[in-house]
Amino acid sequence: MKKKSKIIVVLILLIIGILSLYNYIYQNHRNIQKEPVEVSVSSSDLVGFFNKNESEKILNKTVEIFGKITEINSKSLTIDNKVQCSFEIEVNAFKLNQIVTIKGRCIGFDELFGLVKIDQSSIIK
Amino acid sequence: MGARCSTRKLETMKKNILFLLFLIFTSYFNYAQEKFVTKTGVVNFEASVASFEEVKATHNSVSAILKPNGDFASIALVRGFRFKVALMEEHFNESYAESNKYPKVIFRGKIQNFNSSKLSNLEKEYTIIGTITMHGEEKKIEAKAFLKIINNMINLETSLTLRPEDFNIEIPSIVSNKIAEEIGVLVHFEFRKILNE
Repeated sequence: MKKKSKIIVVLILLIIGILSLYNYIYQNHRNIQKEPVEVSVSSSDLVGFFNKNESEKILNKTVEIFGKITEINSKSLTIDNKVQCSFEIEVNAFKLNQIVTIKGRCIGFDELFGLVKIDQSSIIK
Repeated sequence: MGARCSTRKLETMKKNILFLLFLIFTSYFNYAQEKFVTKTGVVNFEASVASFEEVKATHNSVSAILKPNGDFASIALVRGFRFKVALMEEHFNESYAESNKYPKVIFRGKIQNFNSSKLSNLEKEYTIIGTITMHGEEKKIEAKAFLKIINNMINLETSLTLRPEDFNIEIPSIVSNKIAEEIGVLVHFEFRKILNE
């Protein structure tokens, strides 16, 4: 009887162990849309972080930026010719010069076009 | 010694900044010259080993510029590579590519014998020669590139094989049997023609 209950305890621990290992390995991606905004700035202030060598303050962070749409691609919008926001869905419903606020994850600065890049974007307004 | 070292560093930094300024300057004041650009290039890489979890990432916002003489430059921000498994993405950024320290992968090179007026909707093979800089290391590469025109855009496709050790990236032995030694990279760019403003 005692032996049996020991086996059961060991089995339960084993199952908990395997489940938590599984949850660790297959943890969910960050959900940028639901994360609180860490930095909320205009497009030029966002570029400022990189000009001032303060990129570590915003890299990989959830940011919110506002500005005017200056370029529209099927899955990305460029704001004020300074920030490129990529979306996971098509974004055709926008017009040039429209003012928008966009939330996303800052992934860095691209010297080729002088653009800060943001991915996993969503429109706030 | 230390002081000399740091002045040398400062010198190279100065040179780099000058070079960057030069690049910006030339790209702004090179009137009446067309070039081909993309900000939404796609780069995939895969290092899967059969019967283990797929090791594969996709980047959908790679930037690239192609000049009429075939000069080619591209930047991929390392953080932009997305994996299916979140933990894999985290390990890639934290332990392997060290994206905080080395935030971008840069390619600079030239498409040999490139002539945009000879492109058509039939695929044409070119050779591309250049240097990839990643994780603080440089690697010379030569690859075949396939170019054609679709909807007024220059489509460029190329594939490469890279090894983590080329870029001084060490794969710990505990996972090394789950990550292929040779990493297949697929590149697909759709260049839009613009006139330098």
